[in-house]
Amino acid sequence: MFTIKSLSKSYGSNLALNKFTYHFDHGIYALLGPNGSGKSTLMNMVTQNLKPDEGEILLDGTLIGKLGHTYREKLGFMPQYPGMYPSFSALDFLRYMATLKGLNKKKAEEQIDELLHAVELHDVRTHRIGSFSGGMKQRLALAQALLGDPEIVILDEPTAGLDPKQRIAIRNYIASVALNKTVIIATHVVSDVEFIAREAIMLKKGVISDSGSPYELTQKIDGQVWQTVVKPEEVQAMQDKFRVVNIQNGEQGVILRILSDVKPTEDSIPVVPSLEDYYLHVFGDIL
Amino acid sequence: MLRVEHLTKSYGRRVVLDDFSYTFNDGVYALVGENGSGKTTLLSIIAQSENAARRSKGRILLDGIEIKKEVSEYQNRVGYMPQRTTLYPGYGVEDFLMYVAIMKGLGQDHAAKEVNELLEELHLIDVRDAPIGSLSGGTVQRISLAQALIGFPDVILLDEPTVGLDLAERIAALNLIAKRGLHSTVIMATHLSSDIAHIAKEAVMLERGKLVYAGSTENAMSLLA
Repeated sequence: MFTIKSLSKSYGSNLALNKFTYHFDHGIYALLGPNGSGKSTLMNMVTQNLKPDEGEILLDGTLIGKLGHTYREKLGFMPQYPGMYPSFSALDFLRYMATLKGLNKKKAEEQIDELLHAVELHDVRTHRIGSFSGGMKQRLALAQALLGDPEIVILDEPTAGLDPKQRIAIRNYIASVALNKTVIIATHVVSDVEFIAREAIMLKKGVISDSGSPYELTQKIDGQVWQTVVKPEEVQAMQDKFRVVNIQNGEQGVILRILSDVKPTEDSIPVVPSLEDYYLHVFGDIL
Repeated sequence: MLRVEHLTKSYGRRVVLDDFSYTFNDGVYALVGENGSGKTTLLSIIAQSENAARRSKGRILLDGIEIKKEVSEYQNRVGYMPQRTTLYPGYGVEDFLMYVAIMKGLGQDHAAKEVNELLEELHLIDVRDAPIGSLSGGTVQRISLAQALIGFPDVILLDEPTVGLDLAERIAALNLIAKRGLHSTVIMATHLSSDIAHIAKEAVMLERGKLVYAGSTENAMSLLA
């Protein structure tokens, strides 16, 4: 059980995180919000890269500061831009990280082998990281985060830069390991987490504006998501009047998906809201 | 209508594009494939981006006319957004877009009007005077998209246009791209299945430089999985 109490951090006059309080059990939690909402600040404090101005973080009732290196052994972190050592091979890198984490050598070798298979890098494990594509480095960063079977796993944009096949594989793998861990995923790609997250936390300018299961959140806008077909020349006018979240050219005309608490046009039909719709309901002022 | 015929490109012995042929009409085409499949090379050749087009074999025809014969006129009808560019860091946003507009042959007044509209559509009004080098990656991305759309080009080539944008910015960008797709040919290389599902009418899939599938986006998605 992982608890964050009233965590705050300012950078000069900018209050980046404001009394963030949340309680995490096992499972996947999605941290959603635009750039600058405080996601990275929160994650940097959870990983102890930053000191909070106020507030506490507790693991199973103990302040993480008091746990010392035990906390770092129970924590796995995948940063958004993994800085890696280009001359290391994937295998060497994971062995190095395992050493830093104080893992038993034999167990580490088994785990490393398993993880390399899971992230589909086993075939290239002896190749230099410098020769890896961005997506490969990403997958290696995920493997590193899972070394030592950590209880708390923090993933910052884990699927950015991956092609659809890899994204699905990574998503499935994360879902499979999350059963007995607390996994916190910060992402923009809401569709990636919609079906695997038990709860989503909407972070708006450093404050939790809402949270709940994807189902609970989407229920809040039930009846406010519509689909209608218009002529191409009508699209701009619709955008000026309503929050249009999708435009697609179809057989009969241009299909628009609209967020609106009133029925936009005569022939609009209500559609089932997605978590993405809910995100845009909260953060889509620009649309 | 853009017709690509037997396009082949190698870097030394490495074949990056292998006899690619396709006809693109109006609409948004999602160009998909694993990293390294040739998407960027294909876009940069169609854009007649110098290095890429050199020593590539095959032909590209726009409305029936082979572009090698009419290069500068073709350039005015093409918009290209390369992957991960820093543009010109010292230029102000509006100055840069005006520069592109004038280079594309738009008159001063026309250019000013169009640039202003793009600044609004892509929420760049607040940073119109800022030097590009001072802006975040996501903002530079939107500027790069804007410059590709100036002059309402008939062919719009976008390489990973929504990377680095948060969801609301991404939807705003996709909406704009979709609208352009109503009257132009848009070829958008993307690895985001949500981009594909959102606005593409068709998916064109590359594997090791070869065209392996072209058709509905649903089928493409299941092939990718």
